[in-house]
Amino acid sequence: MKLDWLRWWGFRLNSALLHWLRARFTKAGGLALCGLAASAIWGVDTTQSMAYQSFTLFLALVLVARLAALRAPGRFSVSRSLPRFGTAGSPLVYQITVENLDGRPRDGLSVSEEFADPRPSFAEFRAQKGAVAPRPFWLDRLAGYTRWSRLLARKRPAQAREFPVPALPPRGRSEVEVELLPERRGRLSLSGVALSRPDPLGLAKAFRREPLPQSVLILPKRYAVPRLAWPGARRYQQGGVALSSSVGDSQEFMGLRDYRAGDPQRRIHWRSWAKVGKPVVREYEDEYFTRHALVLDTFARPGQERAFEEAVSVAASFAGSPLPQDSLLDLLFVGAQSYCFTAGRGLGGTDHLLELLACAQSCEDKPFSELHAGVAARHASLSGVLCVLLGYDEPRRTFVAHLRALGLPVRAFIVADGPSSIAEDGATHALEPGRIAEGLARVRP
Amino acid sequence: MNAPPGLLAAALLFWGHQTGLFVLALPCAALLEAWRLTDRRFELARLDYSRLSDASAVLFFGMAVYLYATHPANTAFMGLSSWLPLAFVPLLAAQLYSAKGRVDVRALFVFMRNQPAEPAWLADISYPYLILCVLAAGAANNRTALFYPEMSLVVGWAMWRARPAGSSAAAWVGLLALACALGYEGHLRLARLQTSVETAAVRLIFGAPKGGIDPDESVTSLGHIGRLKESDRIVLRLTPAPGREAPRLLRAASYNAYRARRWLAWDAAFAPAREAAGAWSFGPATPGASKVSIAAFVEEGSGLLPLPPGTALVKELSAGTLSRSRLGAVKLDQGPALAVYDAEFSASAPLDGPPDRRDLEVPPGEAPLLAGIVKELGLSPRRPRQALAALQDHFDRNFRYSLYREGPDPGVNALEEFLLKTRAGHCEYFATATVLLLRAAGIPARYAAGFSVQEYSRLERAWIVRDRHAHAWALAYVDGAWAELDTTPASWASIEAGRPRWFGALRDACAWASFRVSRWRGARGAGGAGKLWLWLLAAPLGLLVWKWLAEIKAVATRVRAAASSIRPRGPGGDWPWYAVERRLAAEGYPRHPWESWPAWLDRVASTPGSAVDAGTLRPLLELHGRARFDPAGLAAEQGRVLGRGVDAWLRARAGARR
Repeated sequence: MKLDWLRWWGFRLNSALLHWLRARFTKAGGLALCGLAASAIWGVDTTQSMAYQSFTLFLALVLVARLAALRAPGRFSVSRSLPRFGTAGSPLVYQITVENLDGRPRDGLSVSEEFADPRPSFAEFRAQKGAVAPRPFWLDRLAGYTRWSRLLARKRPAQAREFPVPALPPRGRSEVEVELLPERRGRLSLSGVALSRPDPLGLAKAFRREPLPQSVLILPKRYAVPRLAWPGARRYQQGGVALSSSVGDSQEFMGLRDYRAGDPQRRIHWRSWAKVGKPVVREYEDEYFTRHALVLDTFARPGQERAFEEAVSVAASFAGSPLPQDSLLDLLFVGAQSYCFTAGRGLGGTDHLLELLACAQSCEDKPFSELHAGVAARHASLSGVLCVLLGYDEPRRTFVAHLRALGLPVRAFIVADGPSSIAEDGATHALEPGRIAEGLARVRP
Repeated sequence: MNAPPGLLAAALLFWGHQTGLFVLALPCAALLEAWRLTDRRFELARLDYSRLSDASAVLFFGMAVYLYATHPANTAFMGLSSWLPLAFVPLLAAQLYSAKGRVDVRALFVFMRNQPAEPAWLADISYPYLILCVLAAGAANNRTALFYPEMSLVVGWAMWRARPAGSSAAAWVGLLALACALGYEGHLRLARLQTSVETAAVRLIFGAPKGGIDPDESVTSLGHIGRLKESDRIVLRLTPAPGREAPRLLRAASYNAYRARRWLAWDAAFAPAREAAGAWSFGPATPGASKVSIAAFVEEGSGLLPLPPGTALVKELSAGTLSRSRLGAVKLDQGPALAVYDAEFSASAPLDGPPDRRDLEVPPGEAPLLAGIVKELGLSPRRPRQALAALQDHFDRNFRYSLYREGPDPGVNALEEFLLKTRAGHCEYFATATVLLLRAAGIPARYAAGFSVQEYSRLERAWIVRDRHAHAWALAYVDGAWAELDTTPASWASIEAGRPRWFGALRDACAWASFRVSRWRGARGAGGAGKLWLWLLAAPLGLLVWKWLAEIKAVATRVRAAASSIRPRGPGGDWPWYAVERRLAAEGYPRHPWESWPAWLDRVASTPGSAVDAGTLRPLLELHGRARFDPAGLAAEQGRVLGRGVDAWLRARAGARR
């Protein structure tokens, strides 16, 4: 515990130091710092080596450059125009407008995005202890750096680069096209914009941070999926057309019949009542159409984070693929509670499903049976089920078998690490994280 | 961004100059620059980079073994550091001759090789290599005044390339000069600081010399309170000639003056010893002399050689020079860390010079005490042999050996307490008391320091001497010769041996292994034949490297230097209009890449504070447009109008800005 805390504290300090150095030194400056550190070791004894002269030269270069970069790069006003959505793994391109508030032209500026602190908390660091790399290097295992770097990579929202700002005239403005590469789905919070300018030696950077908190929703990464022949026949929809749409075979008039107690008044056919002298009501055809469920397994164990992200991507890939025109798609998963969202037939676009999937979190406090019960309760209205599961253990096998026993066609996509022992058939497919696109390409419609 | 032409060669030549490896630096520099002369490049896969990285590691390992085998351990590390650029030449060459022009970083580290192939982590290692050259040149410790200027030139050249676009050359030169000057002053001060700190630290921590025997002074532990502790470290090994006994004592130094619990060697300067045919002679050869082979660790190859009393000849010493003092100490200079030598010795003592008045000096404070005991024992200079026997008998019967001493009585000095009260002490008490008593009795005497030989190791089949076997005894001048007189009770050996030793056997085994390695190294360094082993080692390593390199399935391709064919300034780059554009860009109104000249002109003119009149410039721009795009071009007169117009505008602009 204490050793773990020391490790976490050390890595945290190291990350902060690296962040500070990256913000204030150029790549050439970084090399000079490396030279400084190496020569400090080599030249520790001035009588045994001349490396102490390299040390003083590098030290003087770094100090002079740092002093030359002490002056702020200027006064600026910064704004950015963000798109509504981005997609994980795809470049997010937008504009940043920089306005020079000084009466002097500014040249050689660069702009980069600043994110919220991505360093994991001690609780997160500890929780990751069981989940190690498939074949960790012994030194890694001992120091625990892989654990830290994985967590950091998982929490780091995007890779940011520096982008040169065109020369700014006095009190003029300029637009910079910025490209981010979001690494994970969810809300990407941008805390501010950093403006920097290298010193004349090109080692250090004059640095100014402009707070500009904004966020953009990053949708899950999506893969190309085969155009599946969604299984199943049309089913009676208890909620009727009101819950589905106002087009297609809705409001189909079937005939007239005598009033029965409980019939809604708006269905009374007044002219027939006048003709026959007793209440007569209109009768409509029941609503039958195809309704599919896309079931996402959110019950990820520690160490299954990567598989869970891939499962969300697979679900997003199917949710984002075009549906047959007259069908509905229910997205079912368990988070803080059981969720069911419906898209299709005018009830909502698939973009809403993607937004939901962008925010889906793994469920750690409920058993898998919660999802099982939720899907089974809706089986009567469903034409078919597409499951994205995190493994194929006994509860999940039972779940799939139960749905099939209920007469529902089920296609299951199992996303799991390691060698697969799943017997693939036309309806069950194993997908390996990192090779999802390859696995999906093998799926026959 | 690869290093500019000539920079890597300059760094390597700088390294070669400083390390003296110019012969190796020259071909390496040529190899690292020749890629510019050819358009052949190799498609290297990640596995190929891994093999090259392994080849570099093997080269590094080979160099480490070679240097360890041929150099003293303290210089081997720096030697290895100074050879590092050689080990990384294959890797850098792979980068320079590859189509990608980069190295996949994950191929360099074993623990990163399991990571997914994509995306590749490509990096340019030419600048890190340059820093390595600078550091390796420093590690050579060739203390020339040229090191700093040469290094500054190489580093400055590299920095010129990394200079930010648009930064002022004058500011760059000024700041670099300032940094170089600061660095120069800094290194002078740093060297001085280290000398001062070291001196202060040595004074603070090691007020008196410790560990090893000082030829000029021996600080005794007389009066030391508590238990004396010495380590079990094995400091030397003896193998007597077959059928001969090992000497009982090994003397390293002797002293002739006693001042305040210190024995000093006065008037005992060292003079070079006579050497002939690899043998160092200290006196006439004695028939039937005994011979012993000794292996002793000597710190940094310089120090006193422990020798049996009566040593007349030292031979088989692999390196170094010997000098001797009047008091019989023999000093080794510039020798190996493990000195292995044969000593021939006999009963006579050719090493020691004749006695003088100092060998009879008694501290005035101790004289009454000593005179009383001399009288009591009946010691007389007329019967020196009897005096020696009486003293030996006195100490044997009335004294005991002890490493422990309680707090002293007030007003009683340590020697008095030992002789009259406690009658217990360690060898320094006995030796000091014996020497002073002999002198008080009128017999010249000296204090000898060295080792007692008392432990035989069956593991090593040799006599071993540990730190705790350090011993002191007396030398008495009797019948025209110096005789050893050890009055310390014989029980001290068993008391010392009886002390608990933690993991003693294991530590001895490790020490023996370390000794064997040291001997092997010494043998390799001494003889050319030993280097055969190194070649035997180099052969399989070389084959391994060759095999890896042969397995690289690189496909050579021809690349067109597309980038170099694009000239930043084509024909017409010197047309007058561009001066207008440069001038406005310098003032902070650059033209965007997507902007036409008329649109740019309108934008600048409409910017508040720009003071640009579009009406003046538009006719000039029209002329420039005709010059560029009209197939007929501009008439000579129109060209002159354009040139004059631009000059006039520039002058007016400069005047207005002032």
